[in-house]
Amino acid sequence: MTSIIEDNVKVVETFFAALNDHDLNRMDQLRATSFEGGTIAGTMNAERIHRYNETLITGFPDLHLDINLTVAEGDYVVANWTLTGTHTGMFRTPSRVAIPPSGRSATMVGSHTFEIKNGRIVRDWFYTDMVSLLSQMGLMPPM
Amino acid sequence: MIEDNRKVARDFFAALNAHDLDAMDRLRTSEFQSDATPGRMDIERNRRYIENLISGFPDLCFKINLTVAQGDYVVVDWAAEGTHQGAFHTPSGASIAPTGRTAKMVGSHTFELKDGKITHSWFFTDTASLLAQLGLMPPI
Repeated sequence: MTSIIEDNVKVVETFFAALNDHDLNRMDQLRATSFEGGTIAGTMNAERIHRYNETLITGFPDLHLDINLTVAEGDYVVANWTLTGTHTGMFRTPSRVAIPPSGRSATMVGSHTFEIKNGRIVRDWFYTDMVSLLSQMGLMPPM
Repeated sequence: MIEDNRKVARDFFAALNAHDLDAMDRLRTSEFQSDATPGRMDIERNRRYIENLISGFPDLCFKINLTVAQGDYVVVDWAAEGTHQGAFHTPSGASIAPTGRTAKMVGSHTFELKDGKITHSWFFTDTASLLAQLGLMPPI
């Protein structure tokens, strides 16, 4: 018998395992039909998030996230992560600007908040610094 | 203990909104470390970083949207707003002259607490959004 909080953390761990497997369909299965995802390009439904993640994996085919810490309470789970990837494919920014492959590796940190009800993700949003990514890709000077 | 920790996190943002750096220092242990895009900061470097932020954005104000607390950790999701009325230095020391523009940001802080004080913090926000709102880079 596990607690709801442990079950919610398990959903988030499964989410990142699916992302690391680049298994977008398995990620879809973890989301409620009413899902809304907050991104730096605004709120997206499950279908738009699916396409957004496709773009990310196309740009960074070796994309991998490691969970550094989870903090869970009630319906919420926060996962702080480190992302690594090599920019060997065409990448589109959230506003759809195409960035051709730079061949550079990037390491990013971020924090992802999930709201979970009845074992499904109903909302999520994340924070990361795009300046860090763009400077590692050689597209802008470091701040 | 979780409610005590949450109160420390709330007090931290209240002190930040009051621009009361001494009150912020009292909420942190002497071993305090901050990890963020500018790199790792000890308490003194973090204080200078916040002084710089307040001098650049003298009306800077944070609103807490959500707290998530478990064990020694408290996460605070926030929204901030400020007007760029003073010189602001980037972490590498470049000075950005006041633009007069108002910026709205969202972000998240994770606090690790020890004996009722903050011993480690991590914060996450999108500097690209800030620079775009100040007219210093195109939106991405």
